[in-house]
Amino acid sequence: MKGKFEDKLAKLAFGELNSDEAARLEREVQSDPEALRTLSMYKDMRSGLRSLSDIPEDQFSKERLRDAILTQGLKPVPTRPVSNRTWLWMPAAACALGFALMYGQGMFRHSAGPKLVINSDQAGLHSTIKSPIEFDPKPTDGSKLVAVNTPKPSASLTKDMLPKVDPDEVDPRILVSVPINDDSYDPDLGKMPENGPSAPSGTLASIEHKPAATSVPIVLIDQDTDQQTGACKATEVGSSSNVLVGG
Amino acid sequence: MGYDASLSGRMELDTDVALVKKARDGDFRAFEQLFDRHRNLVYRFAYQMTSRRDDAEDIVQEAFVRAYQNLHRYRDEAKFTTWLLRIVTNLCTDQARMSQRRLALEQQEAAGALDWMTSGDVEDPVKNLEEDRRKVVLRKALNALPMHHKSVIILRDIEEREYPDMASILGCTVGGAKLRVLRARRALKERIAPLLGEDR
Repeated sequence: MKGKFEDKLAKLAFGELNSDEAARLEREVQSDPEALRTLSMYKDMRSGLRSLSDIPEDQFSKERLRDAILTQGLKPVPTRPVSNRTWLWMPAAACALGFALMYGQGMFRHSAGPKLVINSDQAGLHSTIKSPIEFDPKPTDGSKLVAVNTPKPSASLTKDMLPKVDPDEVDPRILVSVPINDDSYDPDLGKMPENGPSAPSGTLASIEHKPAATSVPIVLIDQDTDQQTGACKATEVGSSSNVLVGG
Repeated sequence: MGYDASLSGRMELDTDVALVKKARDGDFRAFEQLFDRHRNLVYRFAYQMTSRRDDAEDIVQEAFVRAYQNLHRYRDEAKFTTWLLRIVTNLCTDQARMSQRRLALEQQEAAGALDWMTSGDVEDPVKNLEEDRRKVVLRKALNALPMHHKSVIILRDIEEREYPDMASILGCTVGGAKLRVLRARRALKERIAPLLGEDR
């Protein structure tokens, strides 16, 4: 028996054909014993399945359900999906990382800035100066210190930036090679007046003007350009003693 | 006028969807109402699938626990009973995989004996004996079917679910559900034909 015909017989037995189709198929089946037997089997199957619907009563209680839910500690999950908010931390973390990198690079550049050398004969005393002196820190490659000769005279040291020195422990031969922003300071002599009003607490009793850090050559870059090359003029000086820092 | 409005509002609140919303908000009594409404439906289907009352009750419990746990996943456009029966179908499939051997060996004898003792018409024992034998044969053939055939036979021919409901429960189209029913009936007929054909 073909599958489609058998499916029609099953539909007929289970009452899933309309009345016209059912009547036509029943007439057709009367002359086909095999189809008649198949139809009878499907009808028996249908009635048998219906009889299987009788089942014993359950003994389930609400208390059992409540206990089952409470035992497992279950709570209904909130309706609002949480997964959408989980993506918010990613851009925030990216921003924080970006800030951290930029700030870290800035700190690194400052730490690689120029050095103000306060020199003594016995031991070098190094102090890092960040902003007041207009050194360009980029070209420093360990062997050359490049100073840009800008016309702005404002950048200079103030007295507060100088290291405080105990007068009792000071070496009388300490050299200072940078000017300070004080009218009482004479850059030609490199001396502070003995009773100067703005002298720092650690007043240097004897200051001798000597070149400092001669081992590091200094290149002065002017803003005027060379007519042949078009680049800025640069002059390498032998020491930093004749460089006027701050204009 | 006011009475009609309050009555319609009350009916609206009593729908499954409203109860589900309340249960989502933590109202356990609303969930208990859902349980009272549909426990018999779930139990009937579970019993037909497992043929054991204790197994069916375990499945009812697990089904409602899972439903409570996953209330946020229920979409309001589907009927709650459809969603619930889908959970039960999956649970029955899992349970059948775990205890297939036990069901095949032990339960059939017990079910047959139970049917023999508890059902039937006392006035015609010969007729009852024949009917009981047919039931046992049919139950045995049904339990021997693969789960995908068994579930559609139970849904359609025992529990008499409509095809659109079946499609939602089985996760297929209405046409697909009809096709599955036809295949399952044919498979069941092939299994019971040799058993019932002996006395023809």
